[in-house]
Amino acid sequence: MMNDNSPEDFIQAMGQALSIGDFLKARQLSIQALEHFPDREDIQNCVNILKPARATSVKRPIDKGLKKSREWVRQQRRNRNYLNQWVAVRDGELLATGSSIDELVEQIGDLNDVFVTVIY
Amino acid sequence: MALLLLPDGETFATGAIRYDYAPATPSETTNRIILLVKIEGIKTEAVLDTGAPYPIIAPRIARQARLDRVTPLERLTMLIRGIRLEGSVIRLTITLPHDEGEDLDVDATAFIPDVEEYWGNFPSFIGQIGFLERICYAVNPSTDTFYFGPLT
Repeated sequence: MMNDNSPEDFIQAMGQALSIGDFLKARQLSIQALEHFPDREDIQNCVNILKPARATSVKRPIDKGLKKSREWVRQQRRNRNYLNQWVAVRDGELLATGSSIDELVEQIGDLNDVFVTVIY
Repeated sequence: MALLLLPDGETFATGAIRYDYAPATPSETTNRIILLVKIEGIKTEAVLDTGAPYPIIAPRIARQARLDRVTPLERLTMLIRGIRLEGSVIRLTITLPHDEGEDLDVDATAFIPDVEEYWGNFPSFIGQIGFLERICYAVNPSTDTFYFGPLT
């Protein structure tokens, strides 16, 4: 793109690139746009969203409750139980079932420390 | 479950987890790799899909994780599973928890479809661009183990 493009032109071009699946071009455009408009918050946001993913290993204790819950879900899949249903499980104990995650939240409140998934 | 090493002794994988092998949607009979993930802290599962351009976060999960309040980059239309879906491209953290080794936190770019009804009850998907392209990963089908680590 040329130097006389506005920030909006760059953002529009990024959108067009993304809509045809050209993620790399969108990323390049965001970097180009930042060179021209380093103080624009919307351009900074684009750069932040399009920058390469960054993976970091983090030491955390193993979540034993989550492990039990996954084992419970695995067992239900094997036995073809709760098919097409969302389930909420904590420490290997079923808390709720529903036709959507919203139905689970209605029954149990928040999802803190709860494993939620759908069984097919 | 031992972690993998490169020829120079460096670790290829810093973590490993058992995955489930099951259909990803009610209409499918083919099994897919289903991984445990934490999407902005919500403990759920996502389907590994190397053909998907981005991670796709199920809209209802996104709403529960309050990702619908994040400023998106762009409104976008994507062709997913034969349906044209409008949505937003955002930045978020997806964690791959470990059974062995360490967790992997991935600061990733993801797509969230707008209309919950169109997405229905499909789970979330982990795609190539914006996620898998920036990690090392390997699969051992004999033990249903997914190995992962950061790019070095």
